[in-house]
Amino acid sequence: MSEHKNRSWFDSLVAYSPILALLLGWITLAGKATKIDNPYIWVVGLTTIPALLAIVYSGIVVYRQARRQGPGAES
Amino acid sequence: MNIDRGNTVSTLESGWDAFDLKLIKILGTILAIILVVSTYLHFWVPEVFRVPQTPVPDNTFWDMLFMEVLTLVMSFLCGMHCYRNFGPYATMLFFVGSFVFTGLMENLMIITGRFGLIPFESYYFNKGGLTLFFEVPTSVCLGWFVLAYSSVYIAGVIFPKSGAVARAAIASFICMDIDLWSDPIMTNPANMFWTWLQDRSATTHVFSIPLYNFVAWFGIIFFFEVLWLKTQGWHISIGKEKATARFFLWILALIAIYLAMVIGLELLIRATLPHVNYTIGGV
Repeated sequence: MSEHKNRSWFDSLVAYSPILALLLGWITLAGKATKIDNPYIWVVGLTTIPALLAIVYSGIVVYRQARRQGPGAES
Repeated sequence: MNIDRGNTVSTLESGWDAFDLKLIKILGTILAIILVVSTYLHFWVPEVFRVPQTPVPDNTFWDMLFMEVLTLVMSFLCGMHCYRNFGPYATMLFFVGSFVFTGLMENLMIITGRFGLIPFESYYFNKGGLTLFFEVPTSVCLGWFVLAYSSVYIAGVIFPKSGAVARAAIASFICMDIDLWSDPIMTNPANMFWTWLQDRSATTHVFSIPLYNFVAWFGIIFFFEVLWLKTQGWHISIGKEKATARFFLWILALIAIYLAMVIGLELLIRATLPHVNYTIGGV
């Protein structure tokens, strides 16, 4: 919402929340994967690379848009 | 206001109107009653739903509380994001719709499988939170909301000119891709968040998970998101009351159609594909 300027940290948190949610989900999975004895679980984890790239790339896009539009215009 | 990077939504109402307030009261009350009754039945009268009593690791009160609080916080943040981008009405429909659609689908698979109402056993949840929506932890239903909303948003950011169907398909692919790793991790004996009941020799497995699960993951997100993206203009053209009724009727119809499709798919897989487990290093 580009009409608001100088947003708080909470506004920025909300603006990135869909990206952070998926990233946090992936990190949580990695944490659970460390409990598994079979190291091949990490090879299976490579199948999530497309999703991970999509998440990171969307974060970069949102960040660049926010930079272009001024402070706090992430969403 | 730049609302949507797709082309489905163009304008919205930023504030709450009387219908929104009435809707949130009705939907909130119904959901709260279901959660209270389901939680009571699951923990205090487990024989009603024949709840399996499987000992699982890391399932203390604090573990469950952490899971519940974490998903609540993420749901709140994603809900705020949806509210700021699409307004209160669309947010309510997305939240309750995704919660009910995915929650009922999971419940139908679990309960009909458990009581022998479909031709195969499915799965059940061992842990996941303090409260339940029938036999599915509330944290799982909230997780579906977060996953569905986040993926459709990301799909719109990456492909801003995509239509509703393409956007839903991209979002569904992201979710299914994550589940290729999440299901083997979460069902591993070290974690045991949920348990699949199908015998490995009975159907095709990928990474020790029934193949139909991954197709179903794609479909469940895809159907809901197409419906929600298409819904955006309904309340403007036919009014909110009719649009809401039509939305939830579609939800119920999709649940019935989708359940039939998933059962049919699994039977087709059993009939046509080799009953082997495709693994990498035993995963």
